[in-house]
Amino acid sequence: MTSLLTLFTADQPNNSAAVRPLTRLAYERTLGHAMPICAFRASRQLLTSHGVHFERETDDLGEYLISRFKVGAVLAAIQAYVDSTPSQFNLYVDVPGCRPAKQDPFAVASTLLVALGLRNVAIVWSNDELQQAFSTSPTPARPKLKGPVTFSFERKPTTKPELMAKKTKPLGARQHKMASAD
Amino acid sequence: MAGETLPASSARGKDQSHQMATTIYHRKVGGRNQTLDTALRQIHTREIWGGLSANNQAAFAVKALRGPLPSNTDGVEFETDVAPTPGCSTPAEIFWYNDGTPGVSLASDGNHAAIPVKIRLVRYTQNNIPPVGIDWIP
Repeated sequence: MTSLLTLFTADQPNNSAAVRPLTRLAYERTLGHAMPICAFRASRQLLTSHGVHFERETDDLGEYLISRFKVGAVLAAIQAYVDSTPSQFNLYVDVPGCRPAKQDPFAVASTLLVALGLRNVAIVWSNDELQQAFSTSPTPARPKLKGPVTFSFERKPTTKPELMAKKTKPLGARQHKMASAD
Repeated sequence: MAGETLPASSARGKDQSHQMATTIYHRKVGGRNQTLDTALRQIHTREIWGGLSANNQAAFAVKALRGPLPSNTDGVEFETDVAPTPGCSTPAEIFWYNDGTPGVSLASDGNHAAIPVKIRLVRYTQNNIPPVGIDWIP
């Protein structure tokens, strides 16, 4: 088991203002693709006492509890199937949604848990496939940020006099002109 | 975190590009669709279907649990050599999204994802079935 702080960041500040609960409708309307970031051990009572309000829903695998959030501009959810491992919850983050927001999904997960006051829950699993993608640089999952791009524009000669002038212009003329201007 | 893996000799299919070692999964009774009728259709079509999941409203997903069907639990146990969608599964639940994941197709009704499977065990012992129940192994 790894503690949350060692798995994510050493001194994650509590940015609870960036976290707000989200309705199912608002969550689903975004068409995000939340992927599991980690699984942690906590009782439902503990989560409820920290302000996590679960909804009970069913899909074709079974009944599950889910609580949806927006962390900054990124969707996240805490979810557990009712018949799954007791007192173990999965934390999902909309990974494609992290790219335009320039967020690391693991940092989003960390922000959510810290904001909920769940700093000390035991992380029992983390998504290695995603973690590998985000731990190396440059990463395939992260947007490749390019440096500043500069443009130069020079109109190509099109008329006959212009073409002739270009042909007859001696090499170094520009430098000579600049030097003579001094 | 893989399910129970079978020997390579049991892998099926001709297209090897999307395949991994055949692995065992199960689905328990209790979901929205895993009824006895569904199980019979799964045997007949040799496919497991899945609808939308809570965390992705843009693609259908086949969902299952890792490993063999636990004893005294009703449901189906199956094997498939289609690899789950990378990065989408949890320690317990497996997801095959119809988002370009090799081997995952759109089901014939257009509203589900589908993967080819071989059903290994069907066990329905409760609720609206003959008194003797069904415990089927091919």
